[in-house]
Amino acid sequence: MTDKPNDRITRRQTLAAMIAASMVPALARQARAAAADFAAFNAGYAKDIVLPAFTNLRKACAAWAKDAADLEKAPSAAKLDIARKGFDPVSDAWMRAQQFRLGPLSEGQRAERFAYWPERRNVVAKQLAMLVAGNDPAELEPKRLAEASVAIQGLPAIERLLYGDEKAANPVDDFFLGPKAQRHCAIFRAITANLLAIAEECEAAWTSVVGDPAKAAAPFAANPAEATTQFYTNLLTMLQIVAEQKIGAPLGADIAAENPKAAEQWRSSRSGRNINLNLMTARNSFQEAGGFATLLRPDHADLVAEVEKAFAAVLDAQGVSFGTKSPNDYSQLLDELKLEGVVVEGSFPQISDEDRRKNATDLIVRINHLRDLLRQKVPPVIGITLGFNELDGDGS
Amino acid sequence: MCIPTHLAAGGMNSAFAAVAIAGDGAEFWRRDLGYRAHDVIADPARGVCAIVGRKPGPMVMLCELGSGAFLRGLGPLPNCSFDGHAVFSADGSQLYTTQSEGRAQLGHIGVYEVATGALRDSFSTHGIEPHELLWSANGHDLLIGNGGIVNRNATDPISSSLVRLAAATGALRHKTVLDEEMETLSLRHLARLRDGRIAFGAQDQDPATDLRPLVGIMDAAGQVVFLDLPRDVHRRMAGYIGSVAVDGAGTAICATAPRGGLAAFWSGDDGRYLGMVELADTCGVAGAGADGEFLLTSGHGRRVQVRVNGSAIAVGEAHPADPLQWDNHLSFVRVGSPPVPAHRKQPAP
Repeated sequence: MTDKPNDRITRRQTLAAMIAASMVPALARQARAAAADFAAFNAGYAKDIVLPAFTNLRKACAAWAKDAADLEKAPSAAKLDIARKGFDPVSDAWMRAQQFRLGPLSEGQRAERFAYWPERRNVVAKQLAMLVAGNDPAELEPKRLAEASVAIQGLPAIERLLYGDEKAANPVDDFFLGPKAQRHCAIFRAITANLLAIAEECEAAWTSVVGDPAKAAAPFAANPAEATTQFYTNLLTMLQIVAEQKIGAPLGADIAAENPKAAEQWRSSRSGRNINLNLMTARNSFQEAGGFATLLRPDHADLVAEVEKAFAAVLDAQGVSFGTKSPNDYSQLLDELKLEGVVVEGSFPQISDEDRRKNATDLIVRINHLRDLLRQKVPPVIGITLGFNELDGDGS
Repeated sequence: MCIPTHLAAGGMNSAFAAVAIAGDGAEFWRRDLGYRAHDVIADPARGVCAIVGRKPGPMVMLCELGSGAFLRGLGPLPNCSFDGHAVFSADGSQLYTTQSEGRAQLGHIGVYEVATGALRDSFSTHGIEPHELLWSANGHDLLIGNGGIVNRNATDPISSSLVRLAAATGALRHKTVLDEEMETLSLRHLARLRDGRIAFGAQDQDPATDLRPLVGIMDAAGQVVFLDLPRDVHRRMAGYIGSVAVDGAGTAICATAPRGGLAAFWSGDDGRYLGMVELADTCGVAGAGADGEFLLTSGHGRRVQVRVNGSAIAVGEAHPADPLQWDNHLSFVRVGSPPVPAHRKQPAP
């Protein structure tokens, strides 16, 4: 054997080729095992985490649509009282479903149609004023409304009708029971029917996934790994929306930059409750049966514990109530959720002093720590890579 | 001289790097960074490259193009940060950078001497939150996309514009602002066609309320035409264009849509939509030298060659996935070509 450079290269290449060849079956086995894991995980996640959220949403919407239809048939103060109560259970259910954007919710603008938020350029007020001023019943037919501006199709529009608008000409009772009761109740009925239709479409799509093993292995994706990646990306996006839009935007960089009306559902005093529900949904999607922790157990119990601890730190953040009755007691909040139509006192806009700012900032810090953990440590262990470009813009 | 053909920023877990790619696709060099970079650009004639910090960028690093070796670092103007993009002057002596100042994100161009790193000049971009910039066809002016976004998460109105400034003085030549129904579009990414017109890509800050156009061309007078594309492709883009590039001939346009997982192509001559290529999380795109050729990169470590010929779009053999995630931009190292080729004006579409 000579020691000429060419020979060395040839030997090294041969060795590399041999190592590579010997690795192929092992890699293929590993890939097959991972694919099976992802397929089983996706089926479990769809069945245990995603579908129940949309079933819950459909039920809440169905009850509300019925009450709104009853109101339209014979408007009365008693029926209005019943119909307006549907706003909270549907909003609650939406906060527990909005994380699951993969598939039906991201198709056909369903998420934006259900709840167009954050609102820009006051577009809800502008579009809603035109709808309220109109007289054409055809505008309120399901197909027409479903194709109208997203601004008048869902919760933000109905929140303005039920909780008033700073520019509204008449109080809520007058609006639904006054001279134009028929038109106004018809709008209420049409929007709740639209929400029900969206919820039914989502539930039907996920029911069909859960009932078909082939679909359940890779829902709305080219392969099982891609579906798992999308489910996981949805979790990160939810946490990003909570930190940056639901808390960060109203909080502003300092007191001078505070903008309470940038909070979600501030008219109905639900801003804080929504944050809690989103965060609990995020936690459940990780650690409840069928959640992401199943992809880590049992080999990575330490990492599971680390993530669970970060979730607990987020949910236990001191003094951050944003409107819940009991600032720090999440077990009580969980109990409250079992009650129908709980309306909670207080709201996000009351962040007005440095203590409250510090608390809110502390919560953002905790959420960001959790996001870092979920972005950096978990994906390589699960065996997925997150998109680098779709999640964030080109700077912040 | 042995130099790479493409430059890009990349990431791996929480670490960041700038990477140079050779003509055969192999990694030419890699430089680990303490910050996340955005655009990495070359001056091949003098063998220098600039690694520009992603907004809010703390620095720009000047390195040797052939090795990635550090030459010197540039800091931002007072109370400013870099916005991710820069261009070298035609003679390579200066680097023009976009920067934003303070909370109001007032736009500035910082001009640095490449040989020493000294700040030589600065002037206003006549707008807010400038992003990509490039040279006009005559080489005297800078074209700048003022993104206009003060806070991505706020619902504040945005104030975006495309401006043309005299590079020597900073004097405003013209400023294009879109009509009211387009006021939610942030004009951020630019590429120059061979006839001097500028292809641009937008990001819609309110994509839910309307299907606003996202890719257009601005002519020398500042007039804008938007390019058509199929409605389903348009919807998939989710109001977000990540990068815009033209091919070696300067006639084919590519715009990437990372949220849609696709790259779309048009003819710059007549504005005709040519088709699209599916690639999850694709954002980086650059010409690849030859007419009709592009290279796309993705956040999942993919590199895909695309050849556009008339309406035929051929996807080349996929490169094996790289063990890093490609960040927003890819740049082509254009050797030997002056920055401003003189061409006859093409008929407007």
